[in-house]
Amino acid sequence: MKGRSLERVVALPLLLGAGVSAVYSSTRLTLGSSESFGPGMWPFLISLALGVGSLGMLLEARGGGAGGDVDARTQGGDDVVRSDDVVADDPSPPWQLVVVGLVALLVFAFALDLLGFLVAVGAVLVFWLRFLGREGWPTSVIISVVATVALHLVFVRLLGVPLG
Amino acid sequence: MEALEGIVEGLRVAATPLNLMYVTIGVLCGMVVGILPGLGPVATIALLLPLTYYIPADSAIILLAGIFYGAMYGGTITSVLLRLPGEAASVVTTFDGYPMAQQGRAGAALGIAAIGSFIGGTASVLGLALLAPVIARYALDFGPPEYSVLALLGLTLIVSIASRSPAKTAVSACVGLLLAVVGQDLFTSEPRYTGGVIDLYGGIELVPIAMGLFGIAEVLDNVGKRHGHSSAGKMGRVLPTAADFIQSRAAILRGSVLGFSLGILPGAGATIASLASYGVEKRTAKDPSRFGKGAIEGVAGPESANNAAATGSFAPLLTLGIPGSASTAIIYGALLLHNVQPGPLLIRDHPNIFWGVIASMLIGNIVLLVLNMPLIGIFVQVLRVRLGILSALIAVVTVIGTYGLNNSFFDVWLMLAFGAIGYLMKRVGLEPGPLVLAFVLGPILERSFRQSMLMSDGGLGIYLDRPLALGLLIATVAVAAAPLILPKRQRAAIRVVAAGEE
Repeated sequence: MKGRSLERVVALPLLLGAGVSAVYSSTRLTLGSSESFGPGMWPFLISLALGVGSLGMLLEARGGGAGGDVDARTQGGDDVVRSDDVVADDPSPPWQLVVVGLVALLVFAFALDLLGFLVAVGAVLVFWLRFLGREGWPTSVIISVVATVALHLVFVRLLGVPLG
Repeated sequence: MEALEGIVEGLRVAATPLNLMYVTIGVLCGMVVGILPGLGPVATIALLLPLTYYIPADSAIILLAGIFYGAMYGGTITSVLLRLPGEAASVVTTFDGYPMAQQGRAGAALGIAAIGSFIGGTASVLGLALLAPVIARYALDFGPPEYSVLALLGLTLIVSIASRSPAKTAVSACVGLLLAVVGQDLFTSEPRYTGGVIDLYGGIELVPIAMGLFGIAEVLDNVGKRHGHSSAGKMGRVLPTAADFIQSRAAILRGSVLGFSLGILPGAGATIASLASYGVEKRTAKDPSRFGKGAIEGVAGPESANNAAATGSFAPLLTLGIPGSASTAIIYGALLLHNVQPGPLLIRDHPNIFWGVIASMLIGNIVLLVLNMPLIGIFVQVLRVRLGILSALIAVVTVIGTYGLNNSFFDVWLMLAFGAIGYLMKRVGLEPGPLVLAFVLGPILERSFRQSMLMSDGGLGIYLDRPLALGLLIATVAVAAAPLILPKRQRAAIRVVAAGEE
């Protein structure tokens, strides 16, 4: 149900907001006429469709309708083999960890620029394996060293990606 | 005869040592990602997209196509052994494949699936070779109105049939269409939705979007998870018996034909094909009650169908330049990266690519059949690789690969932003596949629609005056109305399967 509340609180307002702002921005471009579309007409039409779609999502979410994972399992008639654990999602990771992962990748991208390939890749791998992948220190370090060297060979030596 | 000559010419391209290596790497990668739950063919094709920039165009497409249909084979293995479909098109295989495994007939299920996949794939390659040149010839007469309706038909099929929630799929598709708008207007060169950022004037590229939505979003979803799957038990004999084969042969044939027919429709794809085949087999069976309890036809039919459909889905891509799924949309992007425009002229301008890819599929299917049977036990060991290790490596490769495409950190920031967006989408049940497909179809749709409007001086009458455009339009409306007409039960069945769709 967590997904459902996230959907109501975050996703729908965001989508509706995006739809409205896209409509607004498109009207600031030239809309033109039907024989000769201005640059704004096409995005205008799509943002309207986005608005309609988001409203549809809202209605579905309210009716507890066709959107959720739950109904796929419960609505099935006798033709359907229920697929409970076939399509069941893993539980979502704690959001703090997701944020840490994302920040780690941002820092990694900066480090690639500032510190160079070997240091940045080695460091991010050790960090990710040890703290986000919950591997032990020895495993984390060994895999990181081997992978860093291998990736350096492939990307920098073989493919010539200009990251020192 | 054109088909035969074409295939011979294609074999000359595909059978060079280099391309043989790429097709083998492709199908092996495909097998592996098909086995790994979570990492699907779309994500892998997206991840390898920047790498293919460094190899010739024909090799690149041969490699990526190999991943796509190789994954269909791989997905079967975990569906049967662990009831864990590695990719969406294999969900149906769990219905009867897993019960067969429990009865100690896993080997027979995997064997018949491999044979069915091979027959379905090969038949579909031949169908493609025969049909594609014909479609391409007709398509030369297509004008903007036909193209705009075709692109719309593809999107409508995805939204109305191939998804569990039409509203959510429509929202994903609209976001994809809007993202495609970013950059200079095709007709007036006026910048749109760029926010004054110079890097956005040329538009957003497919790579950061696909790698963010499929690669990073998946990695973020796996943060903090450590587990791998312990390897499955014994398989029994891998070769099906003659009796198994006789029992399945009609299912394989029906599945191949059905899969190819559905595959060439833009938007329908392998998942729907496997479901449709399962439905047909159950309905035509003398004793439908065996289904769900280990009926070998329930494995043979859908497996043949999903492979046939995967191959068939190259028809609209190669002949019309209209990709029908997220995977083929990314392959479309790969062709554009190499300055090759997919469409009716591809067969004339780049016969090496057109026929090379088709012939490589023949070779790829043979490689898969030969490798599949003896190596299933080894492939299953891939499951023991722990998720955390895999995620770390994917994250790093995604960042470096995105950078390497244009040597630009802007692409990396964009990709990470799409990773965050993709993670949120995942959590609220918005699928990234329709977004990517719509993003690729967006410029085709907008350009052809605006050209049509210019041609007709502003009215929609042009769509009614041209018979083919009208026919396609009627089909589109019918597809859009299908969810309202189809019995509820059937819709629910489709949604169960579409639930895992990428």
